[in-house]
Amino acid sequence: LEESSEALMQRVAQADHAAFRILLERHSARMLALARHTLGAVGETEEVVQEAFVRVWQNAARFDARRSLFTTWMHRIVVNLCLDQLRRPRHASRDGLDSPEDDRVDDAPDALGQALARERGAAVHAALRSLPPRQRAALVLFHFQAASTRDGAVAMALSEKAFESLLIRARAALRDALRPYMEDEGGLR
Amino acid sequence: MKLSRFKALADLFGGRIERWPDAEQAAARRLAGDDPQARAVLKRAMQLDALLDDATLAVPADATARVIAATLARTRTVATPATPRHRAWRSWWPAGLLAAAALAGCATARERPQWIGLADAPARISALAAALDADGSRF
Repeated sequence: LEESSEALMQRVAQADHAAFRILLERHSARMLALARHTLGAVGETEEVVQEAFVRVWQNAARFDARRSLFTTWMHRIVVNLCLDQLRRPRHASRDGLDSPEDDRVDDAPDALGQALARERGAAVHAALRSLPPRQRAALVLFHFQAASTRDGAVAMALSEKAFESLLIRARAALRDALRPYMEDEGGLR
Repeated sequence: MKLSRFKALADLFGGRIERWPDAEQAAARRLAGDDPQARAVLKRAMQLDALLDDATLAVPADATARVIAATLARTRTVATPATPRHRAWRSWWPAGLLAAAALAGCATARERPQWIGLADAPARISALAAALDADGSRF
């Protein structure tokens, strides 16, 4: 039976490197995805996730499994680091240049289909990048990380209502931006 | 469930009813089955979900390997985590300091009563008792 991440954290708090390695191997891909979707850039995501895990190591004794799941706690660290990055002017100038489009999951069967899928994907990424950072983070947590609104709120240190408000606004903005790629848009607003 | 509530939930949670609040899923499914407008709302929300799904970014395996290697290298050199024992000590130290100060105060009062104005306390108490006796009062 696989040891839970919360149980592993108890061992990490006692400076157990083996337990920490298991946590890293279990969660790093998911946290990289979170950072990539939130930052919209490739280069800094590895640094962000690396820094997040170093903080997990250093602050393991503060983790309280009675208050949150490990993934929620980890989401909070990664989202905070991403929002810090997005506040820096350097990132603002790079945002949009490091387009991750070439790394999209693309399983369209034919060339035209692939081209259309690529164009559609580029539009979605552009729309995501145009969202205010907190709206983007809320949407990424809920949609791409499958976090509940409750866990998403904890991860962003918000009330559940405030998290839901960010999510509604993010989805509304995306719907507006992506209207050309959606059918049957008339008469439903 | 009213259509307005159905639409509000779709705007928030998207088109997958299984991600809506448990208590509202059954009513939402019923409405989606009965009402064409609800079905249209759901379809629109699902289109946005599908666009987002298609934009899911793959994480290259080598990126994961780099993060794991670099993090392990860093944690070999950074301080080990604070253990719960250290944490417990940190949470108790203000109370401990207060207790130590109180003990020091008691010791000082006993050994050097003049330092804290208690040198003539026994004489004052005797005088007070004599005055009360003379007045006919009793403790």
